[in-house]
Amino acid sequence: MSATKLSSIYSALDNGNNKNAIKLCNGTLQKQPHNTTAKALKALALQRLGKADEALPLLDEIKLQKPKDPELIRVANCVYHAVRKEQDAQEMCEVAYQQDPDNEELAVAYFYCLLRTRDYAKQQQVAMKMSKKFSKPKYLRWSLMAILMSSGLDGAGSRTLDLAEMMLAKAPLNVPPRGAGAPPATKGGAASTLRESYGLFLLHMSVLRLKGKYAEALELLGKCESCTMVPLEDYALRVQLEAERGRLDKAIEAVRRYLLHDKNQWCATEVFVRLSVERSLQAGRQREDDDPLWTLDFNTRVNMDEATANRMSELGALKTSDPISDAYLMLRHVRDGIIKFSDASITAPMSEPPSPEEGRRWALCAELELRKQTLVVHAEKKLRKKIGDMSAQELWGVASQPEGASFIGLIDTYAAEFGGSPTCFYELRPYLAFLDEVKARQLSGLLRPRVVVPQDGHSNEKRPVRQYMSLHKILHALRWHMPIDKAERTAANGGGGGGDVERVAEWLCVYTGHLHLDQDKSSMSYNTVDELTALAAEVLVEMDERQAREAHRQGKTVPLAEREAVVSALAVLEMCLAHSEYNFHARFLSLLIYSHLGLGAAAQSFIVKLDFKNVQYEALGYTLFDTYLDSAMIPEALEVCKEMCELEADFYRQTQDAMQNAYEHESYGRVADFTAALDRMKRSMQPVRAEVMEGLMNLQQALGDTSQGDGFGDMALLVQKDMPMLRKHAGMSLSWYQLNQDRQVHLRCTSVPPFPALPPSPPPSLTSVIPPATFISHPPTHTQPQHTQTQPTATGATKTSSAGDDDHASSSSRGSHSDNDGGVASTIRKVPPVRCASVPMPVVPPVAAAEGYGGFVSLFLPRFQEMPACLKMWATALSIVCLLYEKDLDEASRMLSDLRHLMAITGIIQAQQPLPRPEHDTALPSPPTDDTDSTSAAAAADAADSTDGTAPAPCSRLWWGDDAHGISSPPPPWDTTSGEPSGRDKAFWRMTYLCLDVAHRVLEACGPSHPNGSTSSSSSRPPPKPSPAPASTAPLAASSSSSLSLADGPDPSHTHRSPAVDDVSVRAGSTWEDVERGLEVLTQLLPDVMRIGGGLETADESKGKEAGGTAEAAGGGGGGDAAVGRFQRFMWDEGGCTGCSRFLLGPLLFVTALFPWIAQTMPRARKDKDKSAGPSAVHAARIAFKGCITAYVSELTRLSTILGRARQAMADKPSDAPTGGLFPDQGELTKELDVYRRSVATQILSSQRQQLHRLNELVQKRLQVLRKITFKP
Amino acid sequence: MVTIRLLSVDDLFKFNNVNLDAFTETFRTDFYLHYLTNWPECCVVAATPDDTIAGYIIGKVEGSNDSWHGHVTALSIAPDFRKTGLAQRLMAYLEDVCDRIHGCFFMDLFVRPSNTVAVRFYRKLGYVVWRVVSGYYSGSEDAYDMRRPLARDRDGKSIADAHDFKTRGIKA
Repeated sequence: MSATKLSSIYSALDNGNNKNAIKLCNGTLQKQPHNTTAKALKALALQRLGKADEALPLLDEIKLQKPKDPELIRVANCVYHAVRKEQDAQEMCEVAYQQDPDNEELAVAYFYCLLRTRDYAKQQQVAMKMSKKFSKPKYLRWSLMAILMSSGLDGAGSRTLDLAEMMLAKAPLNVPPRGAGAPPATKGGAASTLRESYGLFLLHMSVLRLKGKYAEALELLGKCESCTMVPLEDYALRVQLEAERGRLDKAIEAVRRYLLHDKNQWCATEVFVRLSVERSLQAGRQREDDDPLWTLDFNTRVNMDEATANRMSELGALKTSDPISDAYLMLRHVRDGIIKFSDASITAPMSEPPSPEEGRRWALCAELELRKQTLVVHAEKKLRKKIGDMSAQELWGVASQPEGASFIGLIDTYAAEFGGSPTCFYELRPYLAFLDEVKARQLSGLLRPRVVVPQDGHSNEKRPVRQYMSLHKILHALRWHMPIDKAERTAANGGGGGGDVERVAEWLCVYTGHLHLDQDKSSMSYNTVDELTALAAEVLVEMDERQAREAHRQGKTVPLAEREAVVSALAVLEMCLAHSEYNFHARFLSLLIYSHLGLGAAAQSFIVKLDFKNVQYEALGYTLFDTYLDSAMIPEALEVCKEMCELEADFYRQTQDAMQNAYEHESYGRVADFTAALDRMKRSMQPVRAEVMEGLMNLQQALGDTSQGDGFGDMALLVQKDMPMLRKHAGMSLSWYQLNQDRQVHLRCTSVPPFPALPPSPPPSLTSVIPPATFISHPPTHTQPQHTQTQPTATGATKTSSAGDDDHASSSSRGSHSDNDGGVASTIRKVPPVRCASVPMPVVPPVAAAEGYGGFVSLFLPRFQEMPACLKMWATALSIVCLLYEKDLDEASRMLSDLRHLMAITGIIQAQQPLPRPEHDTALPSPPTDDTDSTSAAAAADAADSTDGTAPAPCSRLWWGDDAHGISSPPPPWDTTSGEPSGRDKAFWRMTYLCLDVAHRVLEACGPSHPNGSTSSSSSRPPPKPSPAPASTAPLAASSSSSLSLADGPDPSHTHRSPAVDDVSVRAGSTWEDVERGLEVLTQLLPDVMRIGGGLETADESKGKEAGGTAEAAGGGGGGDAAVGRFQRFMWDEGGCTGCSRFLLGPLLFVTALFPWIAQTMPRARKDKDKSAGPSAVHAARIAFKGCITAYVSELTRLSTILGRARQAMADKPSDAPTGGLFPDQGELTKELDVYRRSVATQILSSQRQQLHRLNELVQKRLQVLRKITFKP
Repeated sequence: MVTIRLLSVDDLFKFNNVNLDAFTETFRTDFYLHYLTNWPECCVVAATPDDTIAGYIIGKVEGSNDSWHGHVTALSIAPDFRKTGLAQRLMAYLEDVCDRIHGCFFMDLFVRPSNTVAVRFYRKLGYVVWRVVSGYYSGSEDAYDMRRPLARDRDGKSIADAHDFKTRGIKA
């Protein structure tokens, strides 16, 4: 290829003109069909256009020619990396490198490929060869790095470390001059030298440490202190090395010196305390005395009257034989101001010596930590249980009354003295989470009298109001230790035992009375007192939840407009935003509340203002997803899917590139971090969710498009592009999904903590005092796999993944550096790790442990819990739809079987469940004997929506499964206690499964392999892909062999029969009978499930349940139409709005998509020769199908009518909210709040109207599709 | 009571309580990765005992010879932790790294003149406006390029021609 031509192709690629680049490449390839450069560049352009499937065959062709041109390899690698075919890239580079080992560029490219595939053994070999060949010390360090990375893996160990040690002998450490004494640094000069030295230093230290040569490591550290690049890193290293060596006294001394330099480094305090406790245990073991000085009563440990010193250094003389007592002694000296927290011997402190007040503050916190750690170790010894297995009650059960009193006394003292600091709450939060209910009550009792309502006036002093806020935040947090009962929580809270309303009113008074404190603030700043509004909103939402529960218990519902508490919560947040326009806490909380209410339009305005971008889609994407899906905002949901998928792809690519750069820049300390980040993102649920939901949304879009045209195959073609991803997710085991929730619910929700929250404290770690870069860590240690699964790889082979990895990620994502989690702390080897290095929190009460936001998280928790199973079911169901369109009977059968298994695992159906049959079927097996068992899930869930909760099941003929999981008395929609799918979801999934099953049986009966089979009567459009397997493989045989059954498997004797009737591919009469049976059940099920999903009820049912007047109250002019009233109540007051959206986007989506397909696939029942086999059965099935469509259309029409009426009612409804109902009249404040309430009411009404409009559109689309079905009996 | 530790990739998913603030920009992932790879010691977070991120600073060292300097790329504190001295502590950390480890001559940073709180804060730390860069922020707003000499620049050469000296009469 000429240079000009090549240049123009590169130019086109650089300018993003990929089509032109392809054109130019094609021109070259016409003349030179074997030009590899043109092929590679064309592949690159194709990949950039999203046509990876066309690009990869080109690269395969290139590969066969074994290229060794570095530029060609580079271009090919770009494509391979972009489509994550790392193994292919490695293979191509390996061949090139073997052909030309003297080419440094090829060698480096091969090494980088090995980095991506994490082949550490080959990395080491290649880097070693590169080091010899090219005589560059950097490659020796790469080789060492490969050894270090592999040393944590099974099978690698001392031998490779010996080799590393030998190699290090050839790489002596030079200590570069630094600071003011160093020559002026430049990017490629002194700065690079510094980083190289640091990289080599890390390698030396890590190898010595892994070899257990601590003395040598410490000696090296002494010589090369100035090699470190993080302030005080040398101190931290010394602490760690001494601790690992087992010389805890030395380690304690080292960390004490660290603290004298920088007492503000809290993790150093934690380590100091932990080492003291560990040393005490060690002393006990040395004396073979299990519990020598182990008393938790610190006051009896040390007699402070006798133990005094004037300087830190003098404390040594007062040492007792117990390190815990020594630590306590030091803390008490600092706390009581007997000695200053400083040391004259230290010349270059990191921070100014703290004032006596700061010293006291530090000492109080440190003492809390000391008491906590001591209690944990004490309890573990006494109970012989790990702290993570203990309840808070058990933990405190080993402590005496005075010990407990001292602990909460310290918290009380701290809050009283330092509550005026804005960070007080955050400092105490780990200790608040540590309390049990009794201690929480005691602490509440101590704190309540301390709450002093700050006076208004014109003082500019912020301290009193901050103190007030801190105390209320603590008291509010303590509520989560109490039972949820209203009285309990009210009593536990502050304000002299006042109720929630009074407390909120008081907060709002204080809020408005202290806005003047920040009157000079910029428009973008916040008010000091803003947090009071967030607290108020939290309490009001919680109050609303309680009222809803109470109403449900009494069989009542309250219309949304009359839900004073939740409207007031929104109004309070509006008020906050009026004074602090950019307060993102208030914006975020408003978003959460509107989203929970299913008011997507209102929520969206906050989403826009919050301006989520980039990595925020990973951490906060759940709010967007839930908002849009629950509000049927499909284009917006698709946009979020796109953003999430792009983020994941970018993250993968950029992190891999960063890893490469880390080697280039010798930032070896980052390598483990990048590796862990890649693993973590690989396991994240958010991209999985985005991918699956995108498939679902595409089906929805296709349905809309289909209604305009006549090709139902379009639907499949549109969804087909998502197929590989869907199949991948459908094929994953459920445990994979569960393990993949590495960003756990509380973490996800607390990533924006506007409220006092009690997330479990991350286990502190000894190594946290050491900056992560200090030692080079290993990749995750591959523990014994608990669950093994195979997943297809790019090359079609299978590889094994282990859940051990997931376990690791799960712990490390919580910030844990426990001993065995394979993270930084896993580098502690050879010697037993410091025992207290991992101190997980005790099992705190479930609510406190799970709810980061308190009331708010409970709104989202059930969705997270259901997510793994639901995602897999969506992916499987979507895949089956595609497979049916493709007429891939074998695969569809297998996946249907998977779906059935999954439904059994999640309790949606039961194992050994026989086929549901219509009543007239004489072969009907006996239903379970229990009366409740004869109630269908649909009926049961319907009963939940009835006002008395005991309504008889309207479809008692259907008895899919008993209700051992509580379906007969389903939880209310807001129930958070059950992680299982709700009764409604169960009914939805059963219907979806049945519809897929019917479609599958139709296909099976028609036999895609028959030359004149289904295609004779189906659409003229050829199937997207011919079935690779003959129908005689009897796909249902596999599923019928399963012990799990929703429907009877067909008679094996029939499934193997060949088609026998005319041109109709009826292979088995019994299969058509199954189809007929399934359709009859579906006909029966559809109206029942529609009532649940759409909030419909029959007029008769409504009459009995409506007490009259409800319709008017809810609909504001519903004209007494009970159905409309009922619907609206369901929509806005019982979670029906979100349910209805999900229903229309879920089960109804599948059913609607499959019906036209079934109609076109079903053969005609012509006259045939063998009357005993096909035609009559086919005819019956067609009749049943017609009945099914009629029932479905009828119910959808009904839903449409009701939606129309509801829209009319909404249109006539005034937007005025009732004024001033919740709070006592407070003059101006009440008036101001009323303004915001009216604004909120308007937003709610407007959003409701939009929501109804969207729902109606969805229903109309489905009706359009159904009415187009041509059916020729 | 916070721990200052090196920024890790995982922190990018946890810093929303800082970054949702209207003044704080959330950059693309490769931006953070670039800094983490090239100047890891210049990127730290301040985390509470339960690992809530209270604030972070991201910086770099660049230039050559006399203009070898530390640059503050991003400094952001969560609203709950403002006015607690944390920003000052993070700045002290970065200045210490640039001064003692890298031997820089001065520190510099860019700030919006409209962000008066920040400008006041940097002035308090000894930074002066060295120059005004027109249309630095998307062409819509100027930027103050502020500098502070470090120990190595004993004579204050790096700020000799500072804009502040000309316009405000501040002496070096």
